[in-house]
Amino acid sequence: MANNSKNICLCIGNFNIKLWSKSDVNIGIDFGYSPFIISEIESKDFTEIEIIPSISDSFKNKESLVFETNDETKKLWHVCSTNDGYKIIVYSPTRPNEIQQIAIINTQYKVWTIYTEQMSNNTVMPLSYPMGPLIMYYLTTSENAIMIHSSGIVDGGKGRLFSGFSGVGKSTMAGIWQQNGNTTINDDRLLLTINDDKVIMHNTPMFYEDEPKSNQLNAIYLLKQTKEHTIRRLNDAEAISRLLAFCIQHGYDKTFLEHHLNTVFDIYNRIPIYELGFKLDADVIDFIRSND
Amino acid sequence: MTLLEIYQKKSQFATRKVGKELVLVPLKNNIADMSEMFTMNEVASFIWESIDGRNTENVILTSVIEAFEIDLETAAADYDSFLESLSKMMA
Repeated sequence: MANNSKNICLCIGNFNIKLWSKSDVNIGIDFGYSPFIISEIESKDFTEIEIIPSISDSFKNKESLVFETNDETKKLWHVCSTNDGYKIIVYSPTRPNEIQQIAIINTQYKVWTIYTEQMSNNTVMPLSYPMGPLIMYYLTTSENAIMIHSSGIVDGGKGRLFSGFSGVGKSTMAGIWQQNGNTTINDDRLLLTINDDKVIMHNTPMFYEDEPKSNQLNAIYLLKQTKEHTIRRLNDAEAISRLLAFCIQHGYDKTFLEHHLNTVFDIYNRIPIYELGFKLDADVIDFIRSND
Repeated sequence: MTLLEIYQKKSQFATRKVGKELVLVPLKNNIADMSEMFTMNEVASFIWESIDGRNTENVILTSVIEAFEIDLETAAADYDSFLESLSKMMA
């Protein structure tokens, strides 16, 4: 735990988030969030999260369950509809089937109330995984933004994003660029926002501490490992469908999917999307640059 | 699979027109099934959009022939291929 405060303001990508509590409890956040703290939010556009340091039994019912995510051994999170929004019940990753937080959200995902039990030191941890990443996901669904499994690097000002199936080499690719003097935005997941004619990639809080980083994105590469380097620009439906497959999706109805499709379409209209066949070798850098 | 059955299942897909092509993502229990994502070429996309619960096979085929300036045999082959692919995806 890195920070304790009565109020905390965060800026993650374009998203301003204010955490506050009426009670005398301290709001704690994990290390990964600390670099994203800002002293105050100047913009009128922010997401407000009120923290309540207890979980009432009355909130634990799941009468209108609309979506549930579980793995083989335990519950992960469940979404229920309410009269004027949604309720997300998040379970502890380490204490199977124990409720960790309950979030009540309005339909625009701008006003949240998070109920969470306080720890022995009069502190609550409202963003403990997976609540933090879930908040980020749902915030993107009301903006022209998307989260994607990918690594991103900056090559002399040019932003390059590498995505693909698990194990294909996204982190390895970022490592190759970093070893050659380039900056890694993140090697696991990125937040993409669309500002006018530009696509911007941002890192988001991870389980480790890293400063906030953003850069304009200039090209997207969907990876596959091959014996020789190959590159092919993807067009139209193939580009959209293949990029969409790597976007993070926790939606529970058609509107989420339509948002993701539209956002990916907007990205496709702004920057090229390539299929990159590559072998794990530093000369992939020259190969990519030669195809700019 | 009949045209009416396809029409009734159209709401179970999220779609996006990209140029003259179409991306279709099926929803299963309200969740996107990315493994069954489907892309349609220009002709298939045209047929998909023509399925409105009223148009018959003959009306759609005639429209395809006129829109793409192809003969009946080619249009019918495209139509059959489209239905076969769609039936597999909707199964």
